Amino acid sequence: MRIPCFLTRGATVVAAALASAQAAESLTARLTTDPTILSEAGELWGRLPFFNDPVALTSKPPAVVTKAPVAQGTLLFGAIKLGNGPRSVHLLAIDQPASVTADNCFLYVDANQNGDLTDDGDGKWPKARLQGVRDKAYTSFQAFPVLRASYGSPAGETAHAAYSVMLNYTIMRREDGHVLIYRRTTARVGEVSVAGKAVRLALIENDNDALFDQIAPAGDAPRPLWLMADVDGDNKFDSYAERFDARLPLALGGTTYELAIASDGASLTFTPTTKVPQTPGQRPAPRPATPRLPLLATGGLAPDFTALRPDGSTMKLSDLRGRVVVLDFWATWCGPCKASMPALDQLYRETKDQGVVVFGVCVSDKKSAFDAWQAKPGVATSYPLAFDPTGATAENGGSSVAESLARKHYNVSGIPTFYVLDREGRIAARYVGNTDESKQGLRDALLKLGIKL
Amino acid sequence: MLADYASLQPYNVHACPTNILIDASGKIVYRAAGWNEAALRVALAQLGIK
Repeated sequence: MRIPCFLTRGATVVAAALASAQAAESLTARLTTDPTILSEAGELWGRLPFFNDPVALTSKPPAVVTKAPVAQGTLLFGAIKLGNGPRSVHLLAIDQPASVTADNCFLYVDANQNGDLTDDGDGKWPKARLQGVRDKAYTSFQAFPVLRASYGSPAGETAHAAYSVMLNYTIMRREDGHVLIYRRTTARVGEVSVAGKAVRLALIENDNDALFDQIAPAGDAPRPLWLMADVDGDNKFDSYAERFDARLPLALGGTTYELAIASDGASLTFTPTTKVPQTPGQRPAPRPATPRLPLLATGGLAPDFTALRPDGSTMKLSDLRGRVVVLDFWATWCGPCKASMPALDQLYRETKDQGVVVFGVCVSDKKSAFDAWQAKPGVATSYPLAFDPTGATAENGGSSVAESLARKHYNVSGIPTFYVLDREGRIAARYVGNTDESKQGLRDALLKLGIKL
Repeated sequence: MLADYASLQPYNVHACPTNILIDASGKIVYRAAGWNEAALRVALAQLGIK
């Protein structure tokens, strides 16, 4: 419950505010639909939060369907409702083949509302793309149909408007799962004249029903109803400072107004009020950037750690004391790491008889990927490999990148990172990346430690 | 993956991640081998990105 703070102020202030409210006049604005403003390439695309709603799909055709398309696969029917008038329901059907590719799934929207799903277009989704990889692969289809938002009551239509929505159909590759969701991509736009100055407006609902109800639906988190107002007149809507809750009083040109909005959003009345205006949103302060820590200094003792060997046993870095160690932090998904491996393996073969060991510690990776590497290495190597069990993926128990031993103890910010350790476990050299400099540097460091190359 | 890596070589990518910031004229104005958020933010700010 928001307590108006004028209740706590002195009577004089209240009287002054009332006088000011009475002096100001009500303002009105006529708003028209803009079906592109929230669509791709629209002014507000990607700049505001949104709320998707699911479309229930059934294989049973609704009674109102007079003609269904000839299906190549399974026809699934659904409907979305825009407005509260007699023509607010829009039928649609998806033709989903057993094995989906980017161009054999079809969408039929009964845009002309005659019950015939075959006379509204060719059924092609405007956008289709394969996303994700392997077991998480999915095909995603998008369409932006412009439909009729119908207003009035079931008995009669009092108004209608062109209203676009974004349909997004996702088919999972592996699990035979599919889901159709949609959201509004239309806003009501117009201007209001405040003290002789035109202020651009955009009214945006988030229930995806084309209704601009000012009574928030019940629930813990009712969806917002926004009024964007170009208060500073720069012809751009600031996503934060110029986004208002249309259900609360707002200040415009020095006067506070309450809004009365027609349910179709076509008209907007600003009535002066003595209530306390809302504070518009603030652009969130950027999280302070984490400074990059330098790699550990040469001469210092290399921090000890325990990593998992492919056979499940553990291996401690300190177990290698007495030998010269080339520590390689790598990952199975890291191209530069893999590109560095043949030369690293060559270096190991050349020097292992002199007590040099290359120790490849797989970090920020999935244990399953590391295990798969043992069965089928991306690059064949002969030096010992181990896995950082603290490293980074949800699959490994949800530890974070920050907790990975490479990051936490060795300040690794990119891989491959190499550390050369002397026989006492002190850091002799370190390099980031598979560069000529690092390749030469590793050799030079070994030479300095008395290794013959 | 190695093939993908080869295709990145015009950009001199030798570590993961490598961040390259290209300005509106197509010029590379920042690059870093390894994640360096503070430096990337400074480079973005120099391009007038808030």
